[in-house]
Amino acid sequence: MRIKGLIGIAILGIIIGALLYFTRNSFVEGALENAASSMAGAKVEIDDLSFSISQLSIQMNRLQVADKNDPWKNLFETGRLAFDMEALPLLNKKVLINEISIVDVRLGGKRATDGTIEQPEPVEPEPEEPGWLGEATQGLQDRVAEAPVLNLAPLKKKINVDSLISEFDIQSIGKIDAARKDAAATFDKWDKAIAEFKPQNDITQLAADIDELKSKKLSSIEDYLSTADKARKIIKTLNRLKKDVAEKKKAANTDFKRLSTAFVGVDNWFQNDFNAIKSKANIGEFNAQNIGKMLFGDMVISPVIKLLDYVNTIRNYMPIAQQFMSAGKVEKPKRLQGQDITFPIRNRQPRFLLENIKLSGASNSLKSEDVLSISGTIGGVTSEPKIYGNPLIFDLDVDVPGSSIYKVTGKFDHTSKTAKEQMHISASGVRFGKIALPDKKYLPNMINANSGSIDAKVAIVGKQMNIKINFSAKPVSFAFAQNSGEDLITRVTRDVFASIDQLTFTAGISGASDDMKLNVQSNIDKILAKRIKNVLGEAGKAARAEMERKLRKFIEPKKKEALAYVDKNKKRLEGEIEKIQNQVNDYIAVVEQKKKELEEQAKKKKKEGVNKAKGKLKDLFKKK
Amino acid sequence: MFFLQFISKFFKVLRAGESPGLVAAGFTIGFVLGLSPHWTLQNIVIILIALLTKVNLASVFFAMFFFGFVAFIFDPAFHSLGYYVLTGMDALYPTWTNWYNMPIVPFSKFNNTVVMGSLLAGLVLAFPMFLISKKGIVGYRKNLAPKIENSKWVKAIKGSALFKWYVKVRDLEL
Repeated sequence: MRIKGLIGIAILGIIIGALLYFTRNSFVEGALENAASSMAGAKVEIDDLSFSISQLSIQMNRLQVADKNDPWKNLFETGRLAFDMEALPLLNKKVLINEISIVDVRLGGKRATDGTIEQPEPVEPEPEEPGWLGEATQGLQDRVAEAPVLNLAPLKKKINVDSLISEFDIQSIGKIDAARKDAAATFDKWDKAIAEFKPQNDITQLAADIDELKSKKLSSIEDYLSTADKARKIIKTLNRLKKDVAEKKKAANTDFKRLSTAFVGVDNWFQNDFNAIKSKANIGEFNAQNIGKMLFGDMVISPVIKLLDYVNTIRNYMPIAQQFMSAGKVEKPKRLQGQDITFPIRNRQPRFLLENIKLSGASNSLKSEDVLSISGTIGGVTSEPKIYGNPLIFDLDVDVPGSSIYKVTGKFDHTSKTAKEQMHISASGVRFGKIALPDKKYLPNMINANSGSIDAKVAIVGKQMNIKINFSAKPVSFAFAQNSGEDLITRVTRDVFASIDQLTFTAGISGASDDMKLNVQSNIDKILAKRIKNVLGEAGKAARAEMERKLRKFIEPKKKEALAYVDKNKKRLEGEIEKIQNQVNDYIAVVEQKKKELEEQAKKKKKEGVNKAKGKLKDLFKKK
Repeated sequence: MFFLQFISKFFKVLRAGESPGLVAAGFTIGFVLGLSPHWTLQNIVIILIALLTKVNLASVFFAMFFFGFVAFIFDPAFHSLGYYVLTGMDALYPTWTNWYNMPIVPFSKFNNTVVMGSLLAGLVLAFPMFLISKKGIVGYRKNLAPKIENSKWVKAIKGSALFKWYVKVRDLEL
């Protein structure tokens, strides 16, 4: 034993312990600030952190998280924040916090310093498919862009439909091609699977065995029994083959069904192309539906996109079961890092869990016009929802100064394979004030709304969305920025908006992220649509019809060809699988029959044998 | 300079001084530590053992740095070995699951393929490494060291102004 070594270790331990003890607050503060800043992408500042080793508790007097999109503002900031960690789970590298209480929670406050952090040079990302958020954002923006633009000039010109179509990137064709490619890959996969399956070899062998059974001459009971046993074995093999074929048939049917449903969307793809091209040519239809999109489309989608962005962030930090299960399974291990293999977890505790957050809103002294104050509870914040087994739930009151208190409740369930989010936002007696609208010719760029109510219900399941927004305000007035002169449309639109003193609209967003549908209906639509139609007459109707006909001419042959291809190959492969299945069934029937015959004959032979034995016994007694 | 001192001390103990067994044991401990890519619980325990026993520390640190620099070449092999042991041996699966669920053990990073592979390789090769290094030190001291000491190259270097200056600086430091 090296005594000097022992003393050295003891001294080193004491020095490290003392250093950690005296610098623990600044050490933990710095570590938390760094980790949180890199997660938030902006400066995170903690004031007066105090860490108690004996109680494993942390408290701080202030937490500020800068907004990465507006670094001179805080995304949120809090007053005093305190929580205790559980000791035992820390030994398993798990951080469990039962309750955290946060006071003076505010959103959007101004910062005294710039909240930008120096980020490492971003690595050139590999080109990848856009995620559900990108698809949904693009889809919503496309739906709004499809709304017609009020403009007389293009309607007066002659529209060259051929040149418009030739310059337009027809998305439907690409999508049909992609679906056809997918179909070709699927058929290829099944061709290979059938070729590799090779049941013919097994069937030939079995047929030879069956022939042998048929031709075998049987005399004794043992012969019958052994042959019946052989038949039973053949049936067992045939049943296994039958099961294999049935499973393959089922899997093939699922694949073929998927291929057929892929082409169901062609009509929607066509409609999207048609709407986009009409919008490009500025010959959109001024019906009530389009007017709603034209007027309030931007106003509706911009908060929805922000909300979806938050949902996506939460999905990243609280991954669904599927993502969690595949996490860490890297195909090529990074140099010096290896691969972490996961094993079943018995004590069902996630690596990070914040069971309950109690928020209390900003006190009156901290309230200001540009700061939102939040109070309420959030439960079940965890890095592994599947293990925790409960969804994240929240019940919050968001106090918007000078407006109203918005009630925000919801449940984010990431415990299964598909993420499910539900949210309800409602407020009544809201003082909306001035609501800015995007600059559009002939249309107002500002709504002055005195009082009203809002009710939004959001339900997202995986990539599928269903969002409903109801908005009403009274009295309202509209302000116009652009001076469009004194043409007819200007007079009509201003007349219509001047007569409106109440605004109600309902917006619905539905569909999968790659096929978003937007529906906006307001009390202004019908009035404005009627008046505009009177002004513009039926201009553009003929061009629209011609455009639809020509666009169909491009898409229909592609669709027909792809559908015929799918149908032909589907039938061919189904026929091949059916053939194998029938062959196996036929053989089973033959062997079953033979087995039955053999068993009956064996039974008969057995009976005969017993009778013979009985006769012999009788003779024996007679002789005596 | 710290590292150079260790090298210098290591070559000194190779020539004479501590018993070949203690130098070889230190070298072996350094070898096991050097193969591992991460700072893990078991590495800390091994270092504590080295500090508490009488093994030669210079050889521990020399071998640790030396094998630390070359071990990455074998990482793919360590990964494959670790992957096989962690996922391919059904009999060990309950053990790994138990360990995975035990407190403190996760700090050993045993479920990392490279950590597991390098630790296993280190432990399996430790005894041969001990025997080879012990034999090597004995052989070096008996045969090679006097030859090197008396070689004209060493004499020439020792006689050079640069070496004399180095000795002066070294002695000054000491």
